Amino acid sequence: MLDVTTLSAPGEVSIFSLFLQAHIVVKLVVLGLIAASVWTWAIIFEKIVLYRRTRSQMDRFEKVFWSGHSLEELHRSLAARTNTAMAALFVAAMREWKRSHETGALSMLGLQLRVEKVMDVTIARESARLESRLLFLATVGSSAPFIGLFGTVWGIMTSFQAIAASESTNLAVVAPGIAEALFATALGLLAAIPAVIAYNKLSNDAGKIVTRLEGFADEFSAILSRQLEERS
Amino acid sequence: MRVALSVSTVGHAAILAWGMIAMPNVDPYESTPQPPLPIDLVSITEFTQITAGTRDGDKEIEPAPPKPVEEAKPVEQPKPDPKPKAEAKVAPAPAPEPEPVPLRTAALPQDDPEPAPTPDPEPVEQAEPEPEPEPTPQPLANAPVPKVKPKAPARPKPAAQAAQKKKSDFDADKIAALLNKVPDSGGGSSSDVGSDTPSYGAASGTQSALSVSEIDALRAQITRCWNPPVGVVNAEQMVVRIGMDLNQDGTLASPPTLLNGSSDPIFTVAAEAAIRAVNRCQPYYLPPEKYSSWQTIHMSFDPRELLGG
Repeated sequence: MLDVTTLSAPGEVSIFSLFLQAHIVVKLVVLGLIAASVWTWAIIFEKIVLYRRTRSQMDRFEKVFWSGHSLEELHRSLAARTNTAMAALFVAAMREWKRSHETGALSMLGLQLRVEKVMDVTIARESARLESRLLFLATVGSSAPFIGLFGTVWGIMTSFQAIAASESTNLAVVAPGIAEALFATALGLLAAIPAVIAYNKLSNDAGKIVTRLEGFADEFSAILSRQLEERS
Repeated sequence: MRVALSVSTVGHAAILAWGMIAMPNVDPYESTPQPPLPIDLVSITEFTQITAGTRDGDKEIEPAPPKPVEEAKPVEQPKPDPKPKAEAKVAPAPAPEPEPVPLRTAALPQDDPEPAPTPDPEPVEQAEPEPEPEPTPQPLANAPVPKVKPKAPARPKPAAQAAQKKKSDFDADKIAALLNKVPDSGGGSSSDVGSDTPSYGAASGTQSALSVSEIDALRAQITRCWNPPVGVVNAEQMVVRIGMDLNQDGTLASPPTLLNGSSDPIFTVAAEAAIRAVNRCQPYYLPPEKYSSWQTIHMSFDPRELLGG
């Protein structure tokens, strides 16, 4: 570690010197908070892009689905590639449907149940994919202020030790400790505020997408059941 | 995810870099040293004595310009001083100088008879110039003054005026100017509270008079214990005067005594209430160093004051 006390003149308040002057615990807190902030923003960016892409894919799929094309053809074109969201739901349901027809299963009720099960599983998998890592945002949002507060407490302790050591309550003695303490709190809030806001927004978006998927699953299951009744 | 992570990292690095570039430009804090404020601690006794002192300063200083104040001091220190002071005067004006000496001899007999013999030798030395100036200025300057005010400080003014006259053959305008100056240089206010004449000092060596606030505190303490008879018609007849002798620790040395009397049964009740109050409230918290001034206290209990607020 550097001999940080000689690095900056007293009274200097640049962020970097503030960090270098701080106690090792405060430094760890600061670094941890910065890492949390980086990861939080990475998740935010990733989720925003993912949700936007998912919504546009669903829009496109619904357009194709309701355009009156043959479901067999649609399945054939989609089955080759990896699908997400609504397309995955559709492919999973169609695969189960076809498999039942190939094996010559006779029970219509059983087929209906199996398709719905498959679609439920797919919805669960999709929603898990959409909501993954959102929990981290919630964790950061609730714990980052406390972590910052911990750094603050430590900084205040440092300044009290400085008071005890110099036997004076001069502002120059107290100020550095308090400054680094407040710096830790500021970083904690800086990490927590976007995390909380993003968590609320993103979990709401994910909920909407999942609701849309469920709606599609219900509709598709209704179509399949109508088909089954027409055949029998 | 990797893309998002790198975007986030780059963003944070950019913000940090901006912070490091932008923040060092902030001017360092400059602390301007505050000039220290001198604070004098004045005890409440000193404070009240100060106001009392300026008030009574008026009486002496009004008639006498600054010099006579110096002359007044010798009265405190009887024998040795008058000589040097009087001789010091010799330098500025030889003629007026003889005056103070006889004046003091005239004045001093009131205070103490001893100084009188000591100044005597001096007039002998300078006896010749005396007689002529002395009689002339006094009647001319202001005849009534010396007669009205018998005390020593009052006299020196004519002396100073006499000096003026010696130099400038009695100019009435100048006398008027001098007289006008006098109140300005005096600079006192008017009241006759406290010590008015220089004295030999109290035995204790400190200020012995109770300050106004201390008297108020004592009054408040007794008032708390006092339950005067209520619903009485002739309240003015119920003014009770109580004399109390106190020990140094504030307790009563002897039972409080009635200083006035009346055959009125209501007065008896009031007197008993007052005596009860005095008995109940001891010990009294008064400054022990001023014990000489509060050893005996006469206090009047007037129900009208209490009722009036």
